[in-house]
Amino acid sequence: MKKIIIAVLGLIVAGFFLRACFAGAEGQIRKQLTTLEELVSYEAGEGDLAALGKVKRLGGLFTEDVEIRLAGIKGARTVNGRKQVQQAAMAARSQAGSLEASLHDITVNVAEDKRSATAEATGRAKVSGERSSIVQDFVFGFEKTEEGWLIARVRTVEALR
Amino acid sequence: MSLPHGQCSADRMAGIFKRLFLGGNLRRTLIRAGLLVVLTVLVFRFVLAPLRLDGSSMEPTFKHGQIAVANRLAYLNEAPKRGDVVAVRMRNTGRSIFLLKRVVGLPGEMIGFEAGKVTVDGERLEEDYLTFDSDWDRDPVRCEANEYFVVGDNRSMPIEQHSFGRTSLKRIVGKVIF
Repeated sequence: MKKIIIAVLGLIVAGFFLRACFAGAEGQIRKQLTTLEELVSYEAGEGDLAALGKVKRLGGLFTEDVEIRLAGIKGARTVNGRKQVQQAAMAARSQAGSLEASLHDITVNVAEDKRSATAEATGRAKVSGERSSIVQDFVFGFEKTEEGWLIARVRTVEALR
Repeated sequence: MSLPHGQCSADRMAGIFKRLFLGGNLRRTLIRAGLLVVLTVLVFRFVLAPLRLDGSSMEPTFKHGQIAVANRLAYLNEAPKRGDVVAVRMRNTGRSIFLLKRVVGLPGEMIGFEAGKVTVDGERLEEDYLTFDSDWDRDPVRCEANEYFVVGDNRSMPIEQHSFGRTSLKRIVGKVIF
């Protein structure tokens, strides 16, 4: 009986290990979104070099010609291209002391050709000095490139119409 | 041979703790604990939705940081009524973040705002739950079949910062009961 339990546990662990090592497209995209959360977030007192490093890596998650369309309180805004994304990320760091970003309820749909995918998520941001969080739905368009799955399009979605 | 007094007391304490936390019969205790876990999961997955409020859009009715509970079964046999406070999914597939809003418009109605008050088919709605003054103005929109218009009670905040509008019935998770 003990041997059977150990064998089953061993199989479960092996399954998780294999799954982690050979994650399919969906797993890779989810990992990119987790990395996006980590790189968008920052703490108070983060050094300039650390910030630059993070922003550079953040740019690497997007295609060169990425298009980001954001509808916010102050009207719609479009960010075009990887460099503009990095500039916007640096500018955002000067607006608030710290930011904790997270993505929830992520769903991923990979196209049949496995060259493109769409991910939907609810984003939540806690900004220092603000009492409550900001929540917003996003749709991410991913493309498979030599550098892996990169974000080519982002747009916000209104929760209530 | 008698044991030292200290060792007797230690064994006795261990026995008391064991009985307190594991019960007289370990197997029965584990079964009961397992059943309790299953019951809790079933209740909070299918019957009640605990919510922790983040934001001020429903003040003063519900305050930031307050805990609320929504009844997932409230609309199994009946439709949402005007005035109900409901939990609404952010997206069709949303499961962890909801909007807490009040139903002010029903399917087929034209809903707008005049000086902060809701208008239903051109008539101002009596809203006893409103406390703060508001200057919201918005042209009416029609709720389609199976759509409900929801909005928060705190209309003193700028209209652009407040999330409100039409949602389909299938995105209404439940009725907030407290």
